[in-house]
Amino acid sequence: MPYTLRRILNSILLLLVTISFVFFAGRMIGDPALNMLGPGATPAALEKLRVVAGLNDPLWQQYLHYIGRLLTGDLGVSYRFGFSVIPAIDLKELGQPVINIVLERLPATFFLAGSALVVAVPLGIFMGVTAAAHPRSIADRIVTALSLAGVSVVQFWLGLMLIVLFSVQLGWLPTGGYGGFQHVILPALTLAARPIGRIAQVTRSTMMDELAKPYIITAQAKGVQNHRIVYHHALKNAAIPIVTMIGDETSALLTGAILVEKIFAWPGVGLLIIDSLSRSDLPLIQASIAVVAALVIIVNLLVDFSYRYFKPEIILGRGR
Amino acid sequence: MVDLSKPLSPTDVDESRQVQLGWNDYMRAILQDYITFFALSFVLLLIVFTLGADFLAPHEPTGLNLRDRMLPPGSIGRGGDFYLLGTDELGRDLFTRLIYGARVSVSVGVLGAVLSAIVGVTAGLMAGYHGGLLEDIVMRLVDGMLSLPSLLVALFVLFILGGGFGNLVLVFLVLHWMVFARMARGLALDARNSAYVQAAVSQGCKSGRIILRHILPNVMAPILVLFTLEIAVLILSEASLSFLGFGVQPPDASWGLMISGGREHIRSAWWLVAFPGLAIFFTALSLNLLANWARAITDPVQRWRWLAKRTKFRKSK
Repeated sequence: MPYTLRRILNSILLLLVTISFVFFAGRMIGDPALNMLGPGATPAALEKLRVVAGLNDPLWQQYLHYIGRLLTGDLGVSYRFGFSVIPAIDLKELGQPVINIVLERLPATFFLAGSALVVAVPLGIFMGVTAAAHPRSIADRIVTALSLAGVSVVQFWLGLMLIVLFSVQLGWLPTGGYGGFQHVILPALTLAARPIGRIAQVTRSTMMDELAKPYIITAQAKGVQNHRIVYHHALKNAAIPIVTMIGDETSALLTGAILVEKIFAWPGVGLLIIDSLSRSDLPLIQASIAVVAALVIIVNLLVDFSYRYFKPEIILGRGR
Repeated sequence: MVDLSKPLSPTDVDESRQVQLGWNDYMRAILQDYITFFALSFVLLLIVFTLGADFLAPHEPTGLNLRDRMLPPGSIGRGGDFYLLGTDELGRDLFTRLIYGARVSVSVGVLGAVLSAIVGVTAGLMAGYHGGLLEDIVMRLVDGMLSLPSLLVALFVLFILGGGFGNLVLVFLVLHWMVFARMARGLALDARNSAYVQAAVSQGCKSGRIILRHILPNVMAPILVLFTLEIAVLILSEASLSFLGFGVQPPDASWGLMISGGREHIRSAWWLVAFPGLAIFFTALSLNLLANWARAITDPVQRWRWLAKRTKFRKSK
C-alpha cells in the first residue's frame, strides 16, 4: 500500500477509536435521560424520553446507530442548546444539531489560532536564525532567555497577567470577548508565547548545525551575501525539524486555545468544550471532541506529508 | 594517560581530565555557572520546602484570620503577624499556602513522571531490543496516542472519572508514557548492535538481564534528561487542568487551583494570581535549565568544554 494511503487510513482509524472511546466512556457518567431533563423530572417523562431517544436499546445498537448517523454528518442534538428553560421531550424538533453549534464556533478558534501562528512562526524563526547567526552574542542570550521563558510560563497565567497590565491598569485593550482587531491581540499573544519559544529553540539549534557545514563555506567563498546564505541556503536545509515543530505547535494551539478562550471569554470551540463539560451535554461533548481531534489529526498528517516537499530523498515509511 | 604521539580528540582530553577533576572541581564549576546554580538551588529549596512544609511554613495553611484579609505583600497584620506575600480573601498567608500548594503540584508532577517513565522505558526498551511483532504493536500505539490532543483527552477522562490527585496521576501516566517509550526504543535499537550487548549475548545472558543490567544503565542519561523535562510539562498540565476545575479538588490546594481562586479578585489583589504563577514559572524554568545542563555534562565533548571554561576562569582569577 502506498505510504500516503496507509497514513490516511491510520488516521481515520485513530479518529474512529477516539470517537468510540468518547461514546462508551460518556455512557459511564450516568443516565443520559436524567442528565437531559434534570433531577426534577418525573419518572413518566424520563421513560417517554428514553423511548423517543432510543436509550432503551442495547448499547451496541445505539453505538452502531450513532456511527451510522455520524457518517452522514449527523452527530445528534444538544441537551441544552435551543431550549429556553428545560429540555423538551421532543428533542428532534427543538434541540439544535450539535454539529452546527460546533461549526459555528470554529471560525473564532481558527481566527485566534491563526493570529497566534502569524505572530509565532515568523518571530520564532527570525529569533532562532538571528541567535544562530551570531552565537554567544547579546542577541543570542536574549533569544535563549526569552525562548526558555516562553516554554516555562503557564499560558493562562500569562493571559491573566496581560489582562491586569493592559486592560485593568493601562486600560488600552479589552479584557475579553469577541470583536475586532483589538480583541484578538491579548489572546493571540498569550497563545503565541509557547510556540515562539519552541520554534526559536529548534530553529537556533538546527541552524547552528547547518551553518557549521562545509557547503556554507563554499557559498561564502563564492561571495554569496550573508543573509542569502542564512535564509536561502541554510534555512531550507534546516526546515524539517522546524516544520515538525510548527506542526506540533499548531495542534497544541488548537487544544491550548481551550484555556486561552476561557480566560478571555473568546467564543470558540475551546470555550464550548468547557461549557458542554460543565453542563454534561454529552452529544455536544462528543461532537466537539470529534471535531477538534479530527483537526489535530489532519494537522499531524499534513506535517508528515510536508516532509516530502522539504526532503524529497526521504522515502517515507521505510526505515526511521 | 593520553598518548601524546597521536592527535588529541576531545574525548581523550576528557578522559585524562576526569582523573584529575574531582567532586570539588564539579562544585566549583557549578558555582561559576550562575544560571545552573540558580536552577539547582531553586529545585533544592523547593524539595526542602515541600518535605518540610509543616516546620518551615510561617503560618497555618488553613489559619483563617478575617481581620487580615487581602493584605498586599510585605504587610504586617493587626495581630502583628508578618505576611511576606500578602494574604487572600480569608486572611490566609499566601506564602504558607504556596508552600503547601507546592506539595501537591510537585508530587503530581514527580509521581506522574516516575510512573510514565517506568511504563514507557520498559515498553520502549523491550520493543527496541526484541523488535518484531512486539515492536510493531508498541510503536503503533505510541504513534497513535502521540497524535491525540492530550489536554483534551485529559479533560474528558477527568470529567468522566472526576478530578483528584489519584486520577490526575493516572491520566498523566496514560497520556505521557509514550514519550519515554519512543525515546527508549530508539536507544535500545542503537544499543542492540553495540559491542557490549553482543558480548553479553555471547556469554549467554538472558534478554531480561541484558536489558536491565547492560542496556538500561547505558541509556540512563538521556532518559533522565527527558524525565526532568517531563516533570516540568506535567506541573504545567496539572496547573491547567486544576485551573479549569478538572484537576486537584479543594480543599487540596495546588498552584493551578490557587490561580483559579485568585482570578475572582484579580482587580483588587493581583498577588493572589501573580505569585502562584511565578512559582510554577520558576519551577518549570529551573527544571528546563537543569535538563539542558544535564544534557551538556552527560555528553563527553560538551562536559569537557563546560568544565574547562569554568575551572580555567577560576584559576586565572
